[in-house]
Amino acid sequence: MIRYAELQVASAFSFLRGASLANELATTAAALGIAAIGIADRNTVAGVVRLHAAAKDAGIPLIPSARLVFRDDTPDFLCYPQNRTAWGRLTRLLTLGKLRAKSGDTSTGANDAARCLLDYADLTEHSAGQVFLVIPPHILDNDFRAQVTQIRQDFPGTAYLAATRRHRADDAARLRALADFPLPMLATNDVLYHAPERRPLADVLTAIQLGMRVDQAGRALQQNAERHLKSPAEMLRLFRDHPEAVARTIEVTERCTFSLEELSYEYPDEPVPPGLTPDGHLTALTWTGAAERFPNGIATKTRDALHKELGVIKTLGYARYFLTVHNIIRYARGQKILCQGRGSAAKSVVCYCLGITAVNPAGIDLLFDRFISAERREPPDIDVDFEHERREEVIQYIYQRYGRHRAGIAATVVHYRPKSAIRDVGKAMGLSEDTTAALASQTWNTGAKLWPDDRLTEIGLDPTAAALRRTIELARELTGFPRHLSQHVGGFVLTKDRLDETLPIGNAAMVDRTFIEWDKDDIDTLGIMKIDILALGMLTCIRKAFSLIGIADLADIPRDDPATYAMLCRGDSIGVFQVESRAQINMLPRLRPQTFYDLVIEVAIVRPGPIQGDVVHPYLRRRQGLEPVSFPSPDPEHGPPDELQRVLGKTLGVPLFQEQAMRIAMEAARFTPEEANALRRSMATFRSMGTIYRFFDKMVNGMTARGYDRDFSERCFRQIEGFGTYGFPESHAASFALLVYASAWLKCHHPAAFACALLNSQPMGFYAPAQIVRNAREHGVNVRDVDVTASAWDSIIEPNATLRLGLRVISGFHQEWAEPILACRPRDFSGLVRLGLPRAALVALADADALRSIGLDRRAGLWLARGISDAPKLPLFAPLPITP
Amino acid sequence: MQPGEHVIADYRATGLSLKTHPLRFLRPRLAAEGVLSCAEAVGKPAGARVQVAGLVLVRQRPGGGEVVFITLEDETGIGSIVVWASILETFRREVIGSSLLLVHGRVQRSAENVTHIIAEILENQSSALADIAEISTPQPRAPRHPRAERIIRPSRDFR
Repeated sequence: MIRYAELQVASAFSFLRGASLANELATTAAALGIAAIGIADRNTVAGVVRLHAAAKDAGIPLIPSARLVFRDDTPDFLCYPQNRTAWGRLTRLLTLGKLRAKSGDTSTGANDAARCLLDYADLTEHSAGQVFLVIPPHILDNDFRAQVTQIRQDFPGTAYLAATRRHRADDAARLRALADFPLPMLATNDVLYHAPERRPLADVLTAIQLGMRVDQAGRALQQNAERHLKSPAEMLRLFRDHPEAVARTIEVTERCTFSLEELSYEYPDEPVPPGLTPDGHLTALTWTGAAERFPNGIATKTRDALHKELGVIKTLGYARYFLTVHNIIRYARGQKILCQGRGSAAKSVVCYCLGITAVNPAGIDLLFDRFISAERREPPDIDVDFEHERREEVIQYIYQRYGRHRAGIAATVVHYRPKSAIRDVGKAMGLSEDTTAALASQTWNTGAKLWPDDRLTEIGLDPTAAALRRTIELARELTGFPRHLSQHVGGFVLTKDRLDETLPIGNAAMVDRTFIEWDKDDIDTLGIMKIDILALGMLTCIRKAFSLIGIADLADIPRDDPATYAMLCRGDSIGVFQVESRAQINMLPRLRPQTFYDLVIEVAIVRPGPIQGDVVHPYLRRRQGLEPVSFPSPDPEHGPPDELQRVLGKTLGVPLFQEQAMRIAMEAARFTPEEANALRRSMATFRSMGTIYRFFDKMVNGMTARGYDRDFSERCFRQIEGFGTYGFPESHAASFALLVYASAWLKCHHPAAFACALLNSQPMGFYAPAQIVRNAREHGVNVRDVDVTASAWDSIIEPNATLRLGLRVISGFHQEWAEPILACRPRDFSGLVRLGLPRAALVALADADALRSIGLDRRAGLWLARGISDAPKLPLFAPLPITP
Repeated sequence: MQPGEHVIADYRATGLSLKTHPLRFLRPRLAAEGVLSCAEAVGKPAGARVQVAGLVLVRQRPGGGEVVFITLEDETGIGSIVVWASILETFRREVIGSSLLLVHGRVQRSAENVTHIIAEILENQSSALADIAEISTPQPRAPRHPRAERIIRPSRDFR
């Protein structure tokens, strides 16, 4: 049998070069019988984890590697780490190069070298344990020969020379010449795409990269469609004069046994008082917190839950993780930054006692006590929301506390959307700008429904035109490709040891931010801890309202206030967190929430998941008593008749939460915890979209075998499938429900302060200031116009709960202009002029009709404001610059 | 300055006006054409044919699906419009491009007394907003970015 490994594969993460996605490459390589693939993206390992996962699914080994591109005249190197420490050296090398690049401009693929600045000297420092493959230049001159001699000397026995058939006239001569170099020659096909049909897309990518049209790109395009994955037999045929070059691919594969699975993760150490272990410290903190949370004594149930949770945390070694989160929360509290944990943490009484969450899970009897399950052995997941205006303080605290070598923000892969795809492809295909703009505006649908013929006719295009058809086909193909890396909104990765020995870190476009190359799915695949430091506008709003009315914390709001629920039942919820959308406003009078748990349901039920799963109406009918609440049972010999009642009891027999979907699979269809977990993943992650169908037979057959009705089983599956798009876990809904309650309580009892805080937290929420103000007035709040003698920068509460609009509502008015006005309120127009504000500030004030109190209406104010001139920039009598 | 001019100028400068709602100035004309206010339309019996007009506050298409919800606002309150897929096909430009929208439709009321208007015909009446001001400002304004020239701030859509 012929064995061959393709060690030079550029994935789509060689942005605007690679024209195939990870799963296309992996499945094709496996089907062709290729022994292993080596990924060779340019100065990045961003696509490695995806290809790792895809290769694992396809059953083909992957050699994690990168193509190193240098800023000096060194030829490109492919670098294959042989073991874990060598991988750490590769990621440190990439980090070194990335941190040298000043701005973290990740937006184009045009110049990878500019985003990671490497020299040959760096390579020699990080070469231990690596196998190198040198990519020869087009012209094999004496300079290159000298370089090869040097490389051979510097990396004895670990460097190879890549040889690729170009299908040009001089191929055979070139191979002979390469074989003559003093490095062993290794065959690659320098793969850019998995199959020859991708060549047109590859050409378009080249044109986009060069900023040209395809018909202008000429020699920059590929001369043929040969750079696809080829079978071992085909490769041997191409290298029949040099079979040793094919054999060496296997030699390298056998030398490089490192797999990403070896990246073990350890939580950062947190300082603990002398004499205490992390577990002991966590236990002490928890019980102290419990005493504060439950001043009237801890209920037995709660006490049991705490003991149980602390036991699990100890067994699984998660104490340091909880201490880390606790530490971050404590910092925020100290800075008076409002925050709240969400995610599965909301199921944990420990998190409640540590102040990470504000909902007592024992209090509302959250369905599943297993916050972290021993059998799943996956890291707990705690997300924390912070006030959106102050989150950066928390982020900088984390960097400062853990150091930039141990903390990094996860990446987000920005994918081509239909709009961006048609823009780029249209340009490369030479369509006019207004044609691409018109197409880009028609991207409501997805997939094959994108740009249907009748829509094209409607916008004045000819759907039969060949160039247009081709463009649309290519844009559809490109949709979903990674386009560039950006930083995640707030997912932090923290490690005990150097993070840059696990993955590369680079500068983000934002000042003072560094971020890693892998996104949250990648991190999840490898079991690395992430903590989400998220920004939530409503927390800013709630904190601002709290400070207006003198409340310190979410916990201080009176619970179970009937007036608040009555208001929500009327659908009167503009401005209230989560339930202000049209769909929610319609749902409120139907669901008529009376308790906190009703709000949890309210938040979860108006989601595309439950709506598509068609559970909304059954739930409402049962709630209104129009339909009996029933729970199908298995045959008596298979299990207790109430097995589903225990899962679905609180939601009247209708699955609403992700956790319930999993429990049904485990209880009724007898999924193992691992299978249920796989089902959860296929529900949760975008990457696994479509994989949920694999579970259909397993679930339906599992249920019918145990005596459930087939119809019911299929309906259960459809409901679960609905969650695949968007469903809420119950714990998440519970955290959100608390903010719903808090904001509704503020709206109900302090409408002026609430509206004021909403205005001062803009932009956020569904509604613009006009609707917030209008709604406040409908609730009897007296609102006064923005005025130069009364308004501050923010909107404020004047005596008698009157809301005075702030200068910030004036569009184009700068905050620094407000300071002199507040310092010295003008009494007339000349007083205003004396403040020395630029003319634009006066015009903006007049335009907003904010000068009435100094006797000027809009027109009079504009007349005067436009009449003044800006103060000269230089002092009048300053010496003039001397010109020679 | 006419009151209408002031209201439009308020919207332009601050995105809102405490003086009155812009639709009030169009009301006589709308009433003459048989267009109801949102409050009047909500009071009609289920199944009644109505016309309402208002500023588009929010457009939503839950789950990327079959239906678009539009929330209109006039001086009397809010009107909840439902646009089903078949109507959407015909009137997508009106749905996407209007800041002042005139809707012909039928009143639908649920058991819980939630009232919608099911759209049948939609008309883009945005140009009428310019009439409110009868724009005759004393001096031409400095040229601005076209987006800043919108009289009504764009609605917050599809979230």
